Amino acid sequence: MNITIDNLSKVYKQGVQALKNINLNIESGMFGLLGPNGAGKTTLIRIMVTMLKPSGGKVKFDDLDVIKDRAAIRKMLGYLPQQFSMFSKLKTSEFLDYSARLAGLKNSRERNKAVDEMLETVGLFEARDRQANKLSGGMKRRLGIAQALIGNPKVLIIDEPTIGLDPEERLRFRNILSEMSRKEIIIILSTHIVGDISSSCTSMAMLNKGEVAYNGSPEWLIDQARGHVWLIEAHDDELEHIKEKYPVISTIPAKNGWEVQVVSDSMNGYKSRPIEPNLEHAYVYFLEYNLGQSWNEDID
Amino acid sequence: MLSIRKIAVIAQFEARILLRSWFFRIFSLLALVILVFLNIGLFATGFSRWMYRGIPSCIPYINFLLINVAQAAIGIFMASDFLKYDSKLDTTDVIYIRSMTNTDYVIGKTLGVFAVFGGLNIVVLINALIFNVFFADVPFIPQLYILYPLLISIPTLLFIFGLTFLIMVLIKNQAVTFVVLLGYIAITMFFLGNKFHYIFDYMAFSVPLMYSDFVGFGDITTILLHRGMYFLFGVGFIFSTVLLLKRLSQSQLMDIISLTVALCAYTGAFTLGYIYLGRLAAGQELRTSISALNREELDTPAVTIDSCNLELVHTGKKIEVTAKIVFSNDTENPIGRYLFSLNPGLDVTGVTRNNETCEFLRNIHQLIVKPSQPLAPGRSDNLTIVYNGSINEEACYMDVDESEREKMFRIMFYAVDKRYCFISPEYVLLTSENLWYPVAGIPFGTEHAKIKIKDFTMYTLSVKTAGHLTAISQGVSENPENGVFVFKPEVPMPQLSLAIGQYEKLSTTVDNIEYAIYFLEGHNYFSEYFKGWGDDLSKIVSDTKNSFENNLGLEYPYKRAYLVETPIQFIAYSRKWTKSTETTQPEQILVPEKGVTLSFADFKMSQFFMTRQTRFGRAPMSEEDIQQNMFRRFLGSIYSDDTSQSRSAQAMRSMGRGGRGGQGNFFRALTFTGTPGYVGSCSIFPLYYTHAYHFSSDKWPIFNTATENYLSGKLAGQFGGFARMIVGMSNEEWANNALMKKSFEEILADPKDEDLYDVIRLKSTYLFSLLKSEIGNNIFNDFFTNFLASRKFRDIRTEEFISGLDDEFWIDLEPYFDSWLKEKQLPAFVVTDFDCYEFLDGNVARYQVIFKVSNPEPVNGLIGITSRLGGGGRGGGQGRFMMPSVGAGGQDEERFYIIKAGQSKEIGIVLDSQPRSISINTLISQNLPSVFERRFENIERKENVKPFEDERIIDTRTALSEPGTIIVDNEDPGFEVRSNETEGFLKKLINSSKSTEDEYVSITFWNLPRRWKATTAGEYYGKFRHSAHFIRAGDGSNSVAWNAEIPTSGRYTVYYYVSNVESPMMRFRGRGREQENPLDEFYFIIHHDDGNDEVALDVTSANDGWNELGAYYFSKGIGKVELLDRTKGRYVYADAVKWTEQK
Repeated sequence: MNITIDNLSKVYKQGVQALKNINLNIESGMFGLLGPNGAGKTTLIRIMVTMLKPSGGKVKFDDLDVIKDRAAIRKMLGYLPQQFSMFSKLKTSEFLDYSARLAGLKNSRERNKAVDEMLETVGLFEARDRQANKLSGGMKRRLGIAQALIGNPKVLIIDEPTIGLDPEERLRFRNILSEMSRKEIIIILSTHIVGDISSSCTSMAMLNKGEVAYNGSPEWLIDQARGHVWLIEAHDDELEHIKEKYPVISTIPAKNGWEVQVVSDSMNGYKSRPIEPNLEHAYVYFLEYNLGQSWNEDID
Repeated sequence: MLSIRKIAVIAQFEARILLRSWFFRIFSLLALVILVFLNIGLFATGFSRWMYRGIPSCIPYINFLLINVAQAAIGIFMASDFLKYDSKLDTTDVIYIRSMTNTDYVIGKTLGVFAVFGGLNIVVLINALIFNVFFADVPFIPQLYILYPLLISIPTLLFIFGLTFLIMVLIKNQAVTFVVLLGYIAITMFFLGNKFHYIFDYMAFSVPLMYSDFVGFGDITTILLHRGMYFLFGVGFIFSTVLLLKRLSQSQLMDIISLTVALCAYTGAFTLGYIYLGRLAAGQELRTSISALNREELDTPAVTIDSCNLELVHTGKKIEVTAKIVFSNDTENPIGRYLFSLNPGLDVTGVTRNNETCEFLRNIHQLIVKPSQPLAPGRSDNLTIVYNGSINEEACYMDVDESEREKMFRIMFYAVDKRYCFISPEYVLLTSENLWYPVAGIPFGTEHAKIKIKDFTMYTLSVKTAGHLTAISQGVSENPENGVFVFKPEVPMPQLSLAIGQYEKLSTTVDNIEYAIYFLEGHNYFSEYFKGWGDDLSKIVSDTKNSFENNLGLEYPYKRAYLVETPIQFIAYSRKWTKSTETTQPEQILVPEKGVTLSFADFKMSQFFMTRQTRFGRAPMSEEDIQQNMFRRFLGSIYSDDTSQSRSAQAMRSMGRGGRGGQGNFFRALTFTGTPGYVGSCSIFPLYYTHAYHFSSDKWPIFNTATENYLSGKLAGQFGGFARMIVGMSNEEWANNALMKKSFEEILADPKDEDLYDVIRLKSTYLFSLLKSEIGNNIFNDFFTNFLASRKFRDIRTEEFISGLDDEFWIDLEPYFDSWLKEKQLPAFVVTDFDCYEFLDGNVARYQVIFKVSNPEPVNGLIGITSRLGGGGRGGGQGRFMMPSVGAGGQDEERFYIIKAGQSKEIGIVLDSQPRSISINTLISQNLPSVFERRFENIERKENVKPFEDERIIDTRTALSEPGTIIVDNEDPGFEVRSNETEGFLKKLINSSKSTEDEYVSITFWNLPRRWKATTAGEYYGKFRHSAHFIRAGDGSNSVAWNAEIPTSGRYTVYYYVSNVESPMMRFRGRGREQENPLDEFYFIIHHDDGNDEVALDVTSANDGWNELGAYYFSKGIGKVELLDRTKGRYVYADAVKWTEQK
C-alpha cells in the first residue's frame, strides 16, 4: 500500500489557502505529520479521509483516487478525528458495534468477538456497558482508536491523538499505536507534539503554512540538529538573557542555578556543552534555523 | 448502490438512540395515557354521545387521528435531532467516513425515526383494538386497522420528517428550524386550515376519513389524492436531503437516482395537488355553467309531468334507465320546446316518441326536445328517454353557497365526507336532488330559489339489481323475482327516491299505515332494548301520531312511514324556504347510519339513565315502562318540528364551533360539536305537508313557505326559552331586530341573510295570527283544514286561497299581503295597569285579568295573550278554560288582539281557574323581550263586579313618566358606556367573531363579559325595550353613566332602578353548595353641583323598582350619575336612573 499525494492544494471559500502544492509519498508503517497549529494538517487529513474536496491535485491510495473512488477508499479507512468526545446515547460496546457493522463486519458472532477483543486491546472491556458519553477523556480516545481500528483498516489516520491526555494515558496510547504499526498498514499520525512521532514513526513530514517543510526520516532531521543543541548551566541572572537570545527547549533547576537546553548554530559566553539531539530538538532547530520562525509561539 | 444492510444498520441504531430519548418516552407515554382515558370515556363506558361511538370506524379513526396530531408536532423535534446531532457530535465524522452512500445514510436515518413512531402507532393500534374488541358496542372491522395508519400516519410522518430534514440541512440550525416549522404548523392550522378544501391539512385532521359500513370512505379518490400528495412530498423532501447532506457523496449513480426520485416525487405531489384542486374547480365551473344556462331558461314555460314510468337497472357503479313520461301543457300558451333537466353525469342515449326516434339536444343538465308541432295548452304528449351513467354530485344543490359546500361536516373529531347520493355495486341512494330522472323545466338554483310550481306525478318504478340487494322506494312494492322490485305509488308524488342495499326490514301496521325500519344487515342495535311489549308499541305509535295530527290539523297522507338507514356521509343541506330536506322523502325519512345523529336513538344510554332515575327517583318504572318511555321519546323526536335552521339553534351549535359568540377556527375544529349542521331534518312534518301540498303563486311565492312555517310552528313549543337563556335573544327577537332594518321583502331578496329563517317564521305566524284575530281561532282552523284536505297532491294556486277567504269571510288578503311584505316600521307595545281579581259568577269563582296596551308607533300591531293557570306555586296546577278549545296542560290557547297605530286598548280576560301569570307575545314589534310574563301573586276577591271579556279602545295613552321627573334608561341616548378592557391576543383569537352593537346576550356564569354588554328581561326598566347593561365585576375602571338634561336648577332626588332578575344561567353554579348571590353592593358616583359623591347601594337587600341614591343640587344642563364595575359580587348591571325635583 502506498499513498501518493500529488500537488495537492486546498483553498477555502473565504480565500484561505490551507494547502499549497503538497507532494508526499507515504508507505506502509507509521507516518508522522508534524507541524504547528494551523499548518494544514487537519485539512490534509480531512481530504485523505474523503471528508473534504481538494481544490487541486490528487491523493491516491495505490491506484484509487480519493475523489473518484470514494467508496473503495472509505472501505479501507480507519479514522480518529481530532475532536472525539460527543456521542449519541450509546454504550461503549454499542458504539463500537455500530462502527464494526458500518465497517463491514457482517457476521454477528465474529463481530461480537472482534468488538470484545478490541475493547480488551484498548483496555475498555470493563467499561463496555457504560454510556460512551460518560467515559473519561482518555477512555474516549481509546474508544476512538478502537472504532478506527475495528474492521482491520488498511489505512489508519489519526489526528492529534494525545491532545489533552495525561502523561499516563498518552503513554498508553503511544503503546497501542506502536503495537499497530507492526501490522502491514499505513498509520498516519498527525500531531504537533513531537513526542508522539519520535517514539514510533519511520518517516515523517513537517507541514508549515500549508506547505511541506520537510519530508524524510526523523533520523535525518535529528542529524541536521547534531552539534546545534546545547546545555547551558546558567545563573539566575543569566536566564532572562538566554531566553532572549536562544530558543529554549527546556529549563531545569540545578544546584547553582539552571540547566537550560537551547538550540543554536554556535554558542559563546556561557558555561555550555553540546548534547545529543532528539526529535524535539531537531524540530525546534528546523523551525528556527530552516524556516526562520519562533517555535515558542506555537508550542503548547 | 443502495445497501439494504447499511440502511438497516443505520436505521437500527437511529431507532435505538431515539427510543432512549426521554422526550420521546414521556411524549409517548402521555399520548398513550390520554388515549386510554379517551377510549374509556368514549367507548368503554358507553355514556359518550351515540354519534361519537355508534359507527365502528370511530374507534380506530379517533385513535389514529389524535396520535397523528401529536406525532406530527413531536416528529419535528425528533427528526430535527438527527441533523442537529450530526452537526454537533464530533463523532459523526467517524460514521461519515464509513463506506455507504448518502442515500443509505438518509434513508437509514429516516427509517429509524419511522420505526420508532411506527412502534408507537402499533401500540396505539393495539390499544384501540382492545377497546374495540372487548369494550365497545360496535363490531371490529379489521381492514380499518390497516387503512387508518396507512392513510393518516404514514403520509403525515413521511411529510413532516422529510420537511424537517430538508429545512434542517438548509438552515442548519435546530432552533430556527423549529421556528420555521412551528410557524408552518400555525399557519396551516389557523390560517390555511380550511382553505382550498383542506389541501394544507398535512395532519389529515380535516380529511373526511369517516368510514361507513354501507360504502366505506365517502370519497376514496379525494383521500388518496390528498394523502398521496403528502406522501410524495415527504419522499421528495427526503431525497432532496440526500442531495443536500453535508457529506461528500459516495456514488454519483445514487445521486442521480436520488435526484430523479426527488423530482418524480415532487412532480407527482404537485400533480396530485393539482388534480385535487382541479376537481373542486371543475365542480364550481360546472355549477357556474349550469346556473348560466338556468338563468337563460328562467321564463321558459315548462310542461307538467303527469306520469313517469322508470325502469332502472343497477349495474355496479352505473344505472341504466328508461323513463317513459307523459306530460301536458298546463300553461296558457303553446309550448314549442320541451325542456327537461337530468343530472349531467347521465348520458342520454335515445329519445323516442311513440317508438319514433326524436332529435334531442343535451346541454350539460338540460335535455331539450323539439316536438314537430308545439304542444297546445291542455294537450298531452309523451316521450321515452333512455339514459345511463352515474350522478355528478357537483351538479346537486345548485342554490347552496360555495362557502357552505366547502364547510366540513364534523362529528366531534371525525371528519365526514358530504355526499348527496351513492351509486356503488353494493349500495345506491338517489333522491330528487340528484336529478336521476327527468324533471320538467329547470331545477332549483341560485337564480331560481323559490319553487314556482310543483309537479305531482304518478310514478311507477321498476328496479333490477343484484340478487342479494333490496330496493326501497315509494309506493306499493312488489318483488316478483330476486333482484327485481316494482314500486307503484298510489298517489301523485312530488319526488321519488331510491335506496338499494343489503337492507333488513322490521315492520308493523298500525291504523292501516305500515311503519317500517330499513337498516343495513347487522345494524340492528335497537331491538334488544324493546322486547316483550308488542301490543303497546302500536298504541304508542298511534297516540304519538294522533297527538301530532291534532296539533297540526293535518292527517298523514300516505300508507307507509319508513325510516331508512343511510350512510353517515349522506347529508342534506337545509333551505330556508322549506322545512323539507333531502332526508325527508314522501313516505320515508332517511336516517343517518345507526341513527347516530338522531336525538334519543342512543337507547343504551337512555336505558341507563332511566334505570338510574328509577333507582334513585321517586317514581319507580318497570323495565317495560322504561322501554316504552325510550320509544316514546324517540318517536317524539321524529313527530316534532325541526328548528335547526333558527338563529338560536345555530348559535347553540356555534357555541362550540365559532360563529356568533362562539370561538375561532382552531377551536371550531377542536371542540366537541353539538348536532352537526348538515345531517338534514328527521322531522316527519314535511311528509305531512311539504310532499303533499303546495301553494304556487307568481305574485306571492313565499306563501307556501309561510304556510309551511305556520303549520310547523303549531308543533313547536311556544316558549322556547332555554336557547334564549344561553344565547340572550330569542329567534323572534333576532327576527324583529332584522325587521327594524329591512322590510320582509328586502330580507327575502337576500337568501344569505342570516335572519331569513327566523323572519320567515315570525312573519308566517304573524300572518296567520292576524287572520285568526279577524276570523276567530277555531273557525279559521276548520276552514284551513278543510281547504287543504280537498287539495291534496296537487299544486294549489295561492289565489284559490285568497278567493276562498273572500268567499267565506269577506276578507281581502291582498292588502294584508302588501303591508306584510313591505312594512318597514314596527309597532311597539306599552303594557300597563295589570290587574287580576277573583269574583263570583253566580256560585262559581272566576277570575278577571285586565290590562291596558298602547301602541304609540305609526303602524298597526298584533299581540297574543296566553294565560298560565294554576295559582300559587311555580309550574303548578292544571287549569280548565272558559274557551271551548283547551290548550295543553296549564295554559290556554293564545288570543290575538290588534292594536292599531297610536291606539290604546283595555283588554279583559275572564278565566275559570286562578291564573298564575299571563304571557304577552308582542309578535312583530320593537319590544324586548318580545315575550314577557306578568305574574299574579295575591289575588283578592272583589264583590259586585261585572266580568269583562273583551277589548275596548281607550283615550288615554299609558304614560310611564310623571311630570318633574327625568328618567334615563340604558336604551336612551343619554346613556354612555366606557369600557377600558382590551382583549388579549389569545382571547381575540378565540372570540374571533364580532358581536354587533344591537345584539343582546344572556347573563351566564361561565362567560361574564369584561366589557359592558346588553341583556334583556321583562323585569328591567324600559318603555318597551326592557334591557340593562352588565359587566363582570372589575376594579372600577369600566363605568357607565346616565346623562340627564336637567330642565331647571334645583334639588333633585336621584333613584336607581333595581330589577334583580334571577338569571337561571347564574343559578347553575350553586349546585352542590350554598346558593351564592352573584350580586352585591353597587357603587355610584353622583356628579352634582357641590362635587362628586360616591354612593353605595346594596341591590340584594333593595326592593325591586326605584331606590333612592340621595338628594343633590343640580344646575340646569347635564346631570350625571356614574356606575362603576367595582363590586364584591360577580357582576354589575346598569338599568335606569331617575331624577325627581324636590318641590
